Amino acid sequence: MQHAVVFDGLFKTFGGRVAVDRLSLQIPVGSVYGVLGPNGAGKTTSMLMASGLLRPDAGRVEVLGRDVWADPVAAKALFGVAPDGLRLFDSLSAQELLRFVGELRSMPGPVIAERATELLHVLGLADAANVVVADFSAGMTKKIGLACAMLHAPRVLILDEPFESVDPVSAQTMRSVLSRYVAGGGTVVMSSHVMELVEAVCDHVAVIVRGRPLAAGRTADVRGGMSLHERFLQLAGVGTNELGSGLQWLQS
Amino acid sequence: MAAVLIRLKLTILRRSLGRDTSRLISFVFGLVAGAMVCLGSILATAGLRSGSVADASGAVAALATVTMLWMVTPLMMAGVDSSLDTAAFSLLPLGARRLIPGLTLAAFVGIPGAVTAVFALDQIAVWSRSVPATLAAIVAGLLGAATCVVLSRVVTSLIARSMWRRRARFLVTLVLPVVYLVPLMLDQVLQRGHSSLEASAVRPAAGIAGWTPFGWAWAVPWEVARGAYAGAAVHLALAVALLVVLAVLWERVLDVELTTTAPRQVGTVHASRARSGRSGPLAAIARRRLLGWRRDPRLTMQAVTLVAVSLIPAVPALFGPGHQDGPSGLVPLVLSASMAGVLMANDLAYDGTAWWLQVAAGVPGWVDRAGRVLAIGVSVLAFDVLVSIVQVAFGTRTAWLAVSGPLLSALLIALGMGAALGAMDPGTAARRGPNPFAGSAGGGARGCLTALVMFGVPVFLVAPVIVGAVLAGHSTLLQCLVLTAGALWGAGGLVVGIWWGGRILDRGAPEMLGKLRTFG
Repeated sequence: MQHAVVFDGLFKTFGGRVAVDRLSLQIPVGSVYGVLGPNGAGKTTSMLMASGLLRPDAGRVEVLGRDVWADPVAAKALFGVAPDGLRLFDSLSAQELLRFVGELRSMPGPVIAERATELLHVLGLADAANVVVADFSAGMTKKIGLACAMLHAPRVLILDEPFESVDPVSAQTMRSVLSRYVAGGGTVVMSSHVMELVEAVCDHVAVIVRGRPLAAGRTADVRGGMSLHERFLQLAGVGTNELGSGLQWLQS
Repeated sequence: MAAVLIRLKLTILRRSLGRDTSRLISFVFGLVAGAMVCLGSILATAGLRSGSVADASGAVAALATVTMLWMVTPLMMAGVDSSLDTAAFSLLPLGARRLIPGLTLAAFVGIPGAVTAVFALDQIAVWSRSVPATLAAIVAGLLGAATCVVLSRVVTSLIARSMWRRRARFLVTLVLPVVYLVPLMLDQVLQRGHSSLEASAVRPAAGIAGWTPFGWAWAVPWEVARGAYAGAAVHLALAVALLVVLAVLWERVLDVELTTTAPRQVGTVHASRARSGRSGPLAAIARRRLLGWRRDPRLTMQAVTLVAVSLIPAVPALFGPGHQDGPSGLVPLVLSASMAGVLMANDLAYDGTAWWLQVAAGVPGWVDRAGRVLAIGVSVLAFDVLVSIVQVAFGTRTAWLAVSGPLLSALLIALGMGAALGAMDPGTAARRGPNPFAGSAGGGARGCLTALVMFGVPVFLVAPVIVGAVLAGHSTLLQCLVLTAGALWGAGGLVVGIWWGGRILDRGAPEMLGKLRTFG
């Protein structure tokens, strides 16, 4: 089976603290692959390294056979990325931003215009086409970020926390856009800690804790009969009643 | 509350110095400069104290200037304003009235505040000639120092807020250059006062400065010392009224600041028509950067500063007699060239992390450099051409051909240097957010170093062209040759800068993105 994305021994430290510890994952073509983990597990760091935005200390990432760090130009044409916590050029309007992104990728003007209009419409941003992105709500910003990532019709999407602060209606819209994309042969790698969404959307998951994968594979296999939520807590090593008898003063 | 705020300011200062060496260096430089200013002030005090009352009145003009600087400096130099960010207090159950005394006192923690406090003490020494004058000086010191802080806070807050409303921003960009002109005018007044070198000539300067709002408080002890009690009373009343009005204004502004988090009102924009013109990454980067002059208040401020700072030294030449064809007419063009280089060197800092879009798209480094150079270069060139046309129309510049070669090569070389330098280090920019004057994330020393390099090195690189222009004399043919050679020389420098900067970005785009994280 060909792999869309291969993480091979990715390693990254920040000031001596290990953020990602020899992470290896194989993401099959046509899958929706969820990367789960508690806060600080190294999800965002891995996503940034996979998308060529953060140089790993060691290890390789391949997208459809192209090494992201050895052959960045060829690899970057194959995937689209929507990172979390990095700004967009938010003094541009939604339409201007999409046009800018399309032109950065040397796409022809009419194609950009056609796709931008369609993406804005499908994502429910048509009314906000001429609104400056700085004025967008958090959910709208996530959606325009997704549009930026999809504009050049990449074969792989790398999305960091795509559903963070997105309302249920918008989340449903984004889900149907993503499932149409996967039905058309695309692959999605996304990080998240919204278990219900991941369980519903992803056919494969990996659970990362302290930069290492503790479980990876088909969602049903990883769950092992439990709900994904329970399994995740079990892997992360968290009990349900860790507080004991603390915080007495909070009781009124 | 005051103690808490002062402790907070000290903690922030200590942390920011410990974390960033460039900040530490800039702080040490600032400390040395501040100490030297204080020493000068103390020496001057010793002189003025033994002199006549008329001599000592120079202190009034000097302190009025200091007060004015408190208002103007944060507007002119983006990023020097290091006041506590009031937005951080919006979550706490605190009203403006409880914060204001503490914020005022905390403003004296820091080099400008400390230096101002020394000035206020010095003027007490200057006026300690009699008991009434000494008492007046103590009152004046308190009033004057408080006015400095409150005035600067009110003006920057008001302007910062209006910068986020589009119509108001347009007004502010028109008004600000006038604000820049104020120090120039005062300087002219003072120079006229000093030029006659007679002690009696200082008094009009003190009189004029004392009757401006900046000098109301400081003039009180002077009036008392020379026995003009009525004048002293009027000055005192005006000074107290000013402080009260400013404090009330500040309370209003602060109360609004504490209840609204993001006063952004950029709103709907008219989409630029999907022109069929040039497209592709280079044109896209240039077009976005040109749009930035209008859309990003921080860049609007940069443009206003460039125009105002370049023009101010040339204004007297337009009107003053005996300035025909003088070298001061060239100042705007030379300054704008250097400032174009500084802008280019700092340009990535204004993008912040949004620059990832270019990295993710795999845009080659030289395209990034060239796109920005195109936008900044065209803007500055348009300004230069406009200035030249006005100067030729006013008849203040006739020898335009002879100087065009050196000027053009200076602009191109400065842009090339900026392109290379800006790829090594993102430079400095005011923080994003509601206050376009807020402290820079990059630290002052780095900014000063960039400016120093950008103002100094191009002079050496342009020297051959200047020599050529001098040798060409009045021959039109030779002048044309020098212009062509200068353009080629400059273009060469520009190409090298773009190529070099591009190579640095190609090798280290992710590392640059990491540095940009400090700018948000």
